[in-house]
Amino acid sequence: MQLARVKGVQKYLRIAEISLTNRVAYLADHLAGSLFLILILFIFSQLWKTVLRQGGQVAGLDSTGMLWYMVFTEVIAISTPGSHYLVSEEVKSGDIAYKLSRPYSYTLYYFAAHCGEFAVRFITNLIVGAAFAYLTIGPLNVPWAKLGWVVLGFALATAVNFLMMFSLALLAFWLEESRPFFWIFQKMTFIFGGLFIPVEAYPQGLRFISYLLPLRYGLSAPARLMVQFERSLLWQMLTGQLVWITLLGILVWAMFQKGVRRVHVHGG
Amino acid sequence: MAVIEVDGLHKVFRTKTKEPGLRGSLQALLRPTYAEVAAVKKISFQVETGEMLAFIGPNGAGKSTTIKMLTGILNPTSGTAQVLGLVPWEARRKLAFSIGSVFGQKSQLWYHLPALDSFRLLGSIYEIEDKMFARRLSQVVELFELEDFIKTPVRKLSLGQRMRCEIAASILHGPQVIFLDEPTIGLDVVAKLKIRELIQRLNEEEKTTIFLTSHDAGDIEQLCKRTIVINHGEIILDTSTSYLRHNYLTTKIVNVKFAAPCPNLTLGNAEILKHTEKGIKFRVNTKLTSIEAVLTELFAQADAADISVEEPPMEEVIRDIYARPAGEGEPSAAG
Amino acid sequence: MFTEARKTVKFVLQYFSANLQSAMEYRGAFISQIVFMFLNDLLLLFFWWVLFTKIDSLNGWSFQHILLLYAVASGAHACQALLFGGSFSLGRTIAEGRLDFYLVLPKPVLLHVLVSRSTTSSWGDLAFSLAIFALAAKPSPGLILGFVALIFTAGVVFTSFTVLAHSLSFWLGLSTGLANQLTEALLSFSLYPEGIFSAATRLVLYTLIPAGFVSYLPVRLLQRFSWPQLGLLILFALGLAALARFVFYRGLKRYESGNLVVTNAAD
Repeated sequence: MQLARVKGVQKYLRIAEISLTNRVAYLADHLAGSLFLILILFIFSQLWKTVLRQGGQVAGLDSTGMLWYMVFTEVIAISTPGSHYLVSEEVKSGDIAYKLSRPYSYTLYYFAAHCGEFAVRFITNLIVGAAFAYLTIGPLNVPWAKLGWVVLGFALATAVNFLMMFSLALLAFWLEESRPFFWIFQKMTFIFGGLFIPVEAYPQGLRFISYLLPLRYGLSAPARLMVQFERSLLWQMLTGQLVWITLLGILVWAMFQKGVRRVHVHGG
Repeated sequence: MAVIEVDGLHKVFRTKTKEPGLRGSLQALLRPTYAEVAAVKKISFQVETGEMLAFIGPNGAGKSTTIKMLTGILNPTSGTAQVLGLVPWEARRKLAFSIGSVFGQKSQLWYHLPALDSFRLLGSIYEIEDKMFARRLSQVVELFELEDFIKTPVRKLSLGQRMRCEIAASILHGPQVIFLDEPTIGLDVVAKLKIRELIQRLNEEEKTTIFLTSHDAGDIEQLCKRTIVINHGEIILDTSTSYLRHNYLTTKIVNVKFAAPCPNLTLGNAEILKHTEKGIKFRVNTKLTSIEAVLTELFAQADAADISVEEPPMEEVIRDIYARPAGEGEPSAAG
Repeated sequence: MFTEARKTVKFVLQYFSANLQSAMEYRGAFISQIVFMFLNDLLLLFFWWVLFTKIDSLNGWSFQHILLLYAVASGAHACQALLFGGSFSLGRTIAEGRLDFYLVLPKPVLLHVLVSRSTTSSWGDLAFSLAIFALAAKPSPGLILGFVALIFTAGVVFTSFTVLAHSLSFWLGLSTGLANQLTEALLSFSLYPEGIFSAATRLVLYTLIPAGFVSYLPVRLLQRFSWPQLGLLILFALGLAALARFVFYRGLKRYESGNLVVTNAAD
């Protein structure tokens, strides 16, 4: 029994590994993403230096804090792979039949692949982004003592992000074209996920909506925690993340159950 | 009047060579080495007005390179050529008004729009005056029998219909020379015959010089009086197609599937290529025997469920040309 | 000379029309693409709206200024994408040997490649540009005409830059990614007010990555018109276009000798 369980985990590790090596092969693609990161960080370093020149603050962060906040949100954002087109392709071509007949969970397969790819991209992009930020605006006060908690926050954020994206990806079971939804989701993430500014700094109405949605738990919350560690922030974030992982997990499970039946009906 | 004159046309490509692996990549970056490939080796020939010429050879023989030089897309390393009195790579735009081209795999028609819209656009590209264009359009539509589908979006046309539109598009501006590269590729037998018929009609009515490349021996036999064979950048044969047919396109490959298993068949007048109890594949030399005679011998021994007859592949014909000495009274293989 | 110009304009318009018709074949996709692009652009403004609830001005710029900036930048981008959409894939066209198609036709190769494609979704950018301009400036018809002329000129700057970046493909292989990055960079810089940048950066933005001529200068012209500044803008646009043309045709000579990195040697 115990042996079987170890094997179970192992196959997902393998999947993550393959996804990782696959990613490294697309080096040029990768480089392009890093260049864009530097570009956007450069522009915003100038912006925040200008806006917060006289020691101003946004959501309790000065210009250094704001830029480092952005380093983390941008790195998460550009390192998150999109699985939607893969699922869409599989459903359309019928290749999904192969995956469904194999002895692993479809969702966990994609989660493992997601994590593998995200890990590589995150590390390389973070090195680039952090180096740039350090050189232009100065060092970050890394909360070394509490780093374990922060890393946990990032890991849970990855899960939240994955579940949100995957639920949209599963729309492929019902819709020919799910890209527009992805697009909207991406834009919503920019706003309600707090890509540019921590969600706490939003005007009343916007802040309220952001608090209701899961988006900030994948982006703004972990980044904020890294840049300005506070116990209250930590507990609030972890709670929110766990709640949303549960809710989204149930959603994904339900969608998958219903969706898979549709695929079989089509004889795919 | 010579419409195309080629004299000692020569093209050498310089490409970077790279050793395998990472070490090789670094070497290629720091100290690059080059390989020179002679794609076309000092070829010469002439084409007269109204001729239908087949330009054949295996892949990599130098066909596309030659056509690219004749249409002005590529500069030669040495040698000269003139098309309609113009040097193609020097007067490309001017020449473009008088030549047309169809490349079998690539399309000049807009995929989502009816061919008619593409024709109109081409009319503007070739600066054809409106009234003249209208007249020319009806001429071409009639010649190629396009009335039924000229207003249908190209994506909805069959390959044969699309090909007809492509060739029609290439002659809208009334060119004197057209280069057709694999015009019947991928078409079924009926469509092929139709395209050949239309090209024939075009040549007869408008005296257009046609420079055709094809891997289909049927295209060549039916359309072109003259054939130039090119291999490894050299012209190995420049002769009439009938000579080619009599001396080199003399074999046919026949595939027969048996109605009932027949393991041991003997054929006296044919070369057996493959023989299982389910079927047989053999080659017939039509100079020596007829396919009919061989089949008669076959039917005496077995019943056939399916029969197909193929031309030998072009590569085999070329190999044959190299292998066989020159025939009587015609340019030799070394010419 | 004049007939040549007239023929060229007619040629460009005909291609533009054909591209539009081709896109309209799929009504659903056509409309949704435009709507989405419009919304996409609107969302970019969102950040600025939030920022200006906290601060009054950014180095002298107000929210209205930002609106003008966005109107100009997105309008210029729309002009490039709608009229000269082939510029975005120029590098790939070169690398894949597809220039052959244009070479056998009797029209100027560069122009032909540029007009052969039109990015349908950018109608949304154009709609956004005009809407934001109307919102920010409450303009007279005369001013709208002036605005359109401005974004067209800025679009020429954009296009020329893209052509220059993609022409690298004549000499380097695999440089399409770099060209795309440069084009992105220009677009990105033109969406942020120049006031936030240091003097050194601004120098770069008026030369190597000419965001200054794409959006900053046009915005200044909209706020306070000046003939010399307009002259400077037009001169720069023409100059850059001439440079782009020159570099492209230089590269084309190389293409015609067949020694391009990715051309197949034989056959």
